[in-house]
Amino acid sequence: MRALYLLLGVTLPCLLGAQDFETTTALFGDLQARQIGPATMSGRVSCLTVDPTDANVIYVGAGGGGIWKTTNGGATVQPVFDDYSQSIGAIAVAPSAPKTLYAGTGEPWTRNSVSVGTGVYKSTDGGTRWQPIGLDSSERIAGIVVHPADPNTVYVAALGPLWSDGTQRGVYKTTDGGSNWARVLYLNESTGAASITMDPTDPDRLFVAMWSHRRYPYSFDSGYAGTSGLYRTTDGGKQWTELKQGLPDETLGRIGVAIAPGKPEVVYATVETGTKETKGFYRSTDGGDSWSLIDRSANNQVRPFYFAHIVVDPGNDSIVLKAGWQPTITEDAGEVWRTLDGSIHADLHAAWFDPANGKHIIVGTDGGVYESFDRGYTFRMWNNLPLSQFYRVSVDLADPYNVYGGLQDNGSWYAPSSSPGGVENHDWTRTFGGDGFYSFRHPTKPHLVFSEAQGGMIYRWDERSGRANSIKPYTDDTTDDLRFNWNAPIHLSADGERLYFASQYLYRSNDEGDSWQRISPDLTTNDTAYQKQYESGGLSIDNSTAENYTTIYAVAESPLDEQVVWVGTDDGNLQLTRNGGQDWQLVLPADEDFPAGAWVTFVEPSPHDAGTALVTFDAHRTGDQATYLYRTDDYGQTWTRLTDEEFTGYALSVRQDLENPNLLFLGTEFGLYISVDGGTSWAPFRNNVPPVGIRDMVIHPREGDLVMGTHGRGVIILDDLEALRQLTPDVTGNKVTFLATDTTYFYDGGGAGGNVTSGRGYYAGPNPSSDARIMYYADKRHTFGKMFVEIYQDTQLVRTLQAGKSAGLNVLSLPITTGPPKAPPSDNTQATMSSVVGPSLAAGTYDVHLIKGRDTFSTKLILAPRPGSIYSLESRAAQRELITQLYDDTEEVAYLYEVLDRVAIRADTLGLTELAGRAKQQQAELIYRGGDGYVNTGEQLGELVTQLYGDVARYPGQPSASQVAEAARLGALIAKARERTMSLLKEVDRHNASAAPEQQIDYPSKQTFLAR
Amino acid sequence: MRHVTLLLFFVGSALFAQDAATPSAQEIADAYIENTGGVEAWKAVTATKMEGTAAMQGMEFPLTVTAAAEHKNRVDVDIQGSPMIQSYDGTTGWLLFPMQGITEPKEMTEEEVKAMAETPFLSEFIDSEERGYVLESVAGKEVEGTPTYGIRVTKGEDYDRTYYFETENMVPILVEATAKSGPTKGMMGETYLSDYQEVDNLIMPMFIEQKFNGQSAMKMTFTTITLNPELEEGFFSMPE
Repeated sequence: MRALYLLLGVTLPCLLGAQDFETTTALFGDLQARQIGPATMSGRVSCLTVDPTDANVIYVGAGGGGIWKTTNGGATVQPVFDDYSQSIGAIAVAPSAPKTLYAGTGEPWTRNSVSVGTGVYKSTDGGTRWQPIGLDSSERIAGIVVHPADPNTVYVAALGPLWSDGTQRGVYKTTDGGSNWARVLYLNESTGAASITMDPTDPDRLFVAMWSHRRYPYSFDSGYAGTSGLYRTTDGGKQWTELKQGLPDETLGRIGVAIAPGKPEVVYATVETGTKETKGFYRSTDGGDSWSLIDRSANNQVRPFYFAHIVVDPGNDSIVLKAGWQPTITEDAGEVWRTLDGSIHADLHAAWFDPANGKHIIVGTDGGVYESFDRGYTFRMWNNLPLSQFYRVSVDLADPYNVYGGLQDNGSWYAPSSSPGGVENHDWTRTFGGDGFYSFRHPTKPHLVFSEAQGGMIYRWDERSGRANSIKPYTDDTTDDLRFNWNAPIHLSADGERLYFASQYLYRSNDEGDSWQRISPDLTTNDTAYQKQYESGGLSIDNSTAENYTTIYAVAESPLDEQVVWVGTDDGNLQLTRNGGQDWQLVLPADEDFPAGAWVTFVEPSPHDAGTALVTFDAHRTGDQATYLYRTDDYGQTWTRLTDEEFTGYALSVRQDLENPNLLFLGTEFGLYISVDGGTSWAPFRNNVPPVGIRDMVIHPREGDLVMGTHGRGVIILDDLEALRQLTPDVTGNKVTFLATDTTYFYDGGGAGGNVTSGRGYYAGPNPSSDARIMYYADKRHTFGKMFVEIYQDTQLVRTLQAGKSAGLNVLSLPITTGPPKAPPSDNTQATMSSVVGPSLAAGTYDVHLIKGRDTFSTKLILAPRPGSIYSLESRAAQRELITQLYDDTEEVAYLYEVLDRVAIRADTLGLTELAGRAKQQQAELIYRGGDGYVNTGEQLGELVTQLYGDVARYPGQPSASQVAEAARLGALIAKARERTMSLLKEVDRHNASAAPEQQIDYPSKQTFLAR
Repeated sequence: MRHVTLLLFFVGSALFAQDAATPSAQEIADAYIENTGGVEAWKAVTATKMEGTAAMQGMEFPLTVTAAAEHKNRVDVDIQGSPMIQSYDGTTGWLLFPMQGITEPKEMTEEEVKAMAETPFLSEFIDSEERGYVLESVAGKEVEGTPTYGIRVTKGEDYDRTYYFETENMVPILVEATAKSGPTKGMMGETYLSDYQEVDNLIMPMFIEQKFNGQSAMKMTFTTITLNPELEEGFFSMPE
């Protein structure tokens, strides 16, 4: 019976395992990605909220980077919303219960790159844990206000879908903390609530701006159905009145409205109309009954869809801050405006006045958070918010390699993928300005970096001078006017020989962009109905090049065949040439699910087969947020849609692994998905990768790292795909399987790092581990019994370390050092810290045993110097020889000190004062005791040895001649000290020989001492 | 025949385990306490001494954690013979750390000892209600690749921890709590528990890993746990 049960126990999982090899998040185990930032230029902040009971508690909501909380006024910040949509529209703290928070997802600043939300969330513990509480199809939330005395009464301004009609718009109210919602103000399917403000003295009195608007892939329309307007309720939302007296009697656009909290009969509104004469800043002094136009200056008219936001100082109803490209502030209720400190990033979306000190202002911009203490004359940046919004990312072959990319409104930058002390703000170098997109370093002319700005401005930056020159192609007799996408594609072949750039035509350059050859006809639909970006904007023309349409958006040359080039357009064309551009063929999928006209967001020509490609399509700009990923294996003649119920978010990027063709990566608006079976099954990868838009990714050809360019959380790197590459049914069918690891090279890097005393306000992205990796797959999480790893060289145990306990992949970090020597207990901190360093393991092969309960699993590990290392095998051997000697000497001193200690204490007890005195004297010559651990310390023989030991241990190369000589000198002194101690021990032995057992002086052998 | 039925029951329960209703917070708490020794056995323990190593930043140090009823708690770390002692006697917390220049015991601030002061010696899952602990079921999640049940434990304004119990065997493998002091204040602290082993008649985790915001800060491996150790008078108190 028992046998049958056991048999079933063994075979059932195996059978299931063999059939059920599929991608799950459990497979990924403890594999962790790392976020290297940057926070240098930060990224778009859409809203911010300060706890009304503690001004040091601040919540920052990002356009694409989640919610960040500080409890210390910004000295440190933590992301607190990493499980949900990273696009934040509004955050509200309940004034009467400040641990209760409401967050609305979906940024309301509706540029055409804006992300999308998934509803409203609530926390009752200050933001640690969140729960979705509905409005999950609202897509964008423009504001949330909470009743001053009741944390359960909340009003939400739901802006609603941007690209389509939608009914989850308008004002929603809950009186039970979000369990039930009533839609208390609704106009129609195109009109959402864009701004909301509550009278703090009469919480049933609210103002709401309703905004009719619509985006199309090629255009924007603010005003749209003509139903925008300003509304007021005085009974908690039961009845609403549209306010008209003194407001423009024409089609309205986006309005931002704010009650002066200190004088609620004063209300301000920034109002968009289609005429310069009426568009501007309005004021009411009778609680909204009537309004007057106060100001029409540029910042009160600029780009309402992006800047219709005003904030009133709660301490002074005449002081108002207006969001904007160049944000402004008035101190006289709107008559005179002053521009805020020009040193801050343009494009301000959020602001807060300190109720206790109106000169203290915090603002959120497209370049992060800034803080002023003089009412906006000067600002200081928060340098620790890695909200950077990358559009594109690339890598070079330097060691460590650099990461390049361009960002929303923040130019083009690069930084090393690792750096002493972590990847810090100062590690980033800017190569160009504007909005940045593609950026590549030339592989064979490494002083050149190609970068670009919006709408087809391609530049070649020369690191030798720091200058960039424009290298864009121009129109000629054979072309129409060139139409470049906001994010015009650049592709550089791996060998650097061919640079591609695209408008509606594909261009190729063989001379780094000095000249271009047009190698295609117009590859778009060239539908002139969609080429009216100069009319885009609705009431306010907004022709930034962001609405340029019928353009090429994706270009990729096959890494296996330079004649094979794929081109995708923003208007739904996927084109292929197999002869370097002489002939082009439209190769679209034809299945019934295929979204005709969708943007081709990414083409990944397979690195394994020239006929294979993976393509992502994005139809969200027509209201379809489904994930579209297709694969062809025959140059686009037939296509298979790869899909999985796990998918969420429209598809943005895709890569096939360079080694394992079954390992695929998909980036969507909601994060990273991985398939280990060629695309049949997928699972989200969430270990340090929040559900942020992944616009681009690249696999480093040498390191095998997956480098992701995210639109809100900077660059995220999943180091070394080696473990994922080995996930096959052979591996996952077993209880524990070791994965092969490459030879581990000694890490030669180091350095003091950046400014370690710069305080807390800076970001440092973690470095990859420099340790050796031991990788295994476990079928279950280990919870009961011991589980640890032993490392042997030959038969000698050199290190024991804890095992990873996860189900799925476990990647253990093995420090390439053995344990430190047993050192004497000095009070000299410097000496003690020198002795905690272990010597490096020797090059060679090691046996790795994983002990799990009664089972032992084994593998091998090889350590070697990196080829070309400046520290030769010979110099490492010399270091090892000296470090071994110093290690032994350190332990010798430790032993002598311990023995003398025993003798001194015991002799004292026995009344052998003279003997005890001599033992103490010898101790004092060995080790310094006493002092303050800081500036009152000393050095005896022991401290000299341990400090020399530490110096030699920390440097992998040839020890200096002085160090060798000093070691010899100290060695001789230790020998003498030993002689003295041994002589004293002879006396002790003689005493013991004649003393009764209880009168003897016991001391350990060296072997016993070292074994403890 | 009975054996066959039993066997089918086992196979069936394994296959359909996911469909079973989630047990209540109290059921999980009861199962955990029962499976790890039972209420009486846990209550019979008035102090524990746990000896092992602490690994951080690639270094390892001998570590002893001693705890006793009434929130008493003391951590001893040995750094090459130089001590680091942090202790709380139920009223006063103190620190000795010569390598940081704290060569004489120094009293800690109220905020610094908050986490120690509020950590109960006896599990919150024993007599929870009468001791003022509120257990609340929260969504479980996949922890290190395994499904869990979540129980949030609160008491008063400040005490707020969430335990994740492995669904298969009802022991906690992760505890989440927000750090209350120091530079990690406000960060989500995650404590991972594994290597549960029998200590006398109790089952206790012998490996504990502390992470902040997902980054490993310290790994503690215990090799010996002594129940009701003999402790000298004033062991937890700040030396005069």
